[in-house]
Amino acid sequence: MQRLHKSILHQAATNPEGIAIQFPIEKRNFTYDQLHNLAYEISLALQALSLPKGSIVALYLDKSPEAIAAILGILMADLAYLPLDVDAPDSRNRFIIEQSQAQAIMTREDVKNPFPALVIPFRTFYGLALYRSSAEASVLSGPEGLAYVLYTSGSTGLPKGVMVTHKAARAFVDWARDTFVLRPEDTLTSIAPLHFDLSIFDIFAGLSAGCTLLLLTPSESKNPLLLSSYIAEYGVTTIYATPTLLQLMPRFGKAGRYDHSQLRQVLFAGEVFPIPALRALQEIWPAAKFYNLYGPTETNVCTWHPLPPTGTDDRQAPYPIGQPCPYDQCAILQEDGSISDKLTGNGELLVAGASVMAGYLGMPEQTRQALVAHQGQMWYKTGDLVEVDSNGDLLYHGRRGRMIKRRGYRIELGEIETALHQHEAIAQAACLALEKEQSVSAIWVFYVAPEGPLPHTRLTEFLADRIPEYMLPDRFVHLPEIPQTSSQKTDYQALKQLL
Amino acid sequence: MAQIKTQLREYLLTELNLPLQPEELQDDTLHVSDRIMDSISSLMLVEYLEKTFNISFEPHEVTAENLDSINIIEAFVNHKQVSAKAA
Repeated sequence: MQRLHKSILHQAATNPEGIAIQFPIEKRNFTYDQLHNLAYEISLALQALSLPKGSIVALYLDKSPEAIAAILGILMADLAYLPLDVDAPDSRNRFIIEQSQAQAIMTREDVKNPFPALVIPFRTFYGLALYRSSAEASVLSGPEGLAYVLYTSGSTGLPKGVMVTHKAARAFVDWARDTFVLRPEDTLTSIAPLHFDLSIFDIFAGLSAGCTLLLLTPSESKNPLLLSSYIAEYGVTTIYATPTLLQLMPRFGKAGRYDHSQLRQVLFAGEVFPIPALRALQEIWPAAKFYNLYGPTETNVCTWHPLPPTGTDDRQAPYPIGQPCPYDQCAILQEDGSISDKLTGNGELLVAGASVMAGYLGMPEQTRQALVAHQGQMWYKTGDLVEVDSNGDLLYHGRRGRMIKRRGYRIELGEIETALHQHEAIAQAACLALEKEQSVSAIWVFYVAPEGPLPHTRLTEFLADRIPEYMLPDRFVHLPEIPQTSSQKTDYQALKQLL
Repeated sequence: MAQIKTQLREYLLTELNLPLQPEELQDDTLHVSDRIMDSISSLMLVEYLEKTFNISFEPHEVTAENLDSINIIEAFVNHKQVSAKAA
């Protein structure tokens, strides 16, 4: 089995002096040799714990070169890593530690370990501390070749651990490295936190190609002016980020002040990129190629769409999520419950293939609900509604879970959001249905308009040109920003609190 | 001096619409540390300060340390204006 980190070790052997990681906040860097040496030392320490193969090691670390070395060290020791969100409430992280039955944890030496299940100190090195569990070995059975577990929020409110094997992760990583032609001369931003699946591209596609990773902390990632200066200073060639961050660049990044001429490609994923905001970004980076990548954590990136060269089309609706990546297949679960293997019509997107998760850790029931068997393969039900356009590209139409009924009509809240995203003054929009005794009493819209609130009447008029009358929202609330989950997606739970 | 503070108060309450009653916004109220002001509002505040007081933020200056309260912002604006004159 080809393991996820193998090509990174190869880079360390052939290009030891190459810069693997730039860490601007501490003005230091790691060569491939340094990265490998620390990862190796960590792997030896982990091996000394004699954990069964594939055991889970949690990471409770801020982003740093040492955290990346810890990830590699865990994989080198034939273990799987579970990155925790250090900014999440302790109670959530404790749930994850307990539910995952993690056998060890790596944290910072100078930070108190808040996890009672993992308190036996084992050793410290380079400011890192390794603790192990006092419990017996995990009784949860993971798949063969487990590489990492990423927790995503579950609709029930309890986070679910998505298990990804080396093989599944490599399907995406190898394709991405080749498709985006990553080379040692490239410098990639690492914007996503380690618990967010966008980080898989940064770490594994980037480092396996010998690139330099520009490691940004969460506070740096929220500062578009700083990002703008780094793009120039470090010669960034490739950015992978959510539209939420990218759309701040034209207004707040002062791009004209900095040389962004080396930036050759911009990859975005995680949410819809409203067209006016995307056009503004293309204007400041006219030479860069843009790619829309799509995929839930459960499949990693499974479809992609290269945007036409800037200035060559006048599309008004958001770009498609495109075509399946070559390692996956897509099918559509139709309204009547049948599965269409041919990409036509509309319905819920199903994904099968090499990159699909092995299941939710310790949650067989949720796994059964998420994966359906069809023609000898397991298909992940994305819960995302898609339509195939006349070019055969998949168009994203929002989440199945957000379908409501009003006055007998079926309404996808995502459809209203899509319409709002076409308004040139709206940077972001999110819709919620206020329900009373299982019937919808009102549709609320929360929106961000950098120039200030827009009159209700004008918004209604705008929408009435795009969606049926029965879909028109009842209330519009202007917000300075739409609350987001730690993985930078719209936090509908937080919005509900505003109702 | 007092004028900067008055303008700032006005901007924070009416333009940024910080979720505070006017009497709750003191000169030493910590907008960033106390999560009253979100990250986008911080960026808008920087844009406002640059335009209104004819100063320019360096990338590393867009931080909570320079934007956290009316007192802190006033000191920062004064510092920037003085160093601009000296330059």
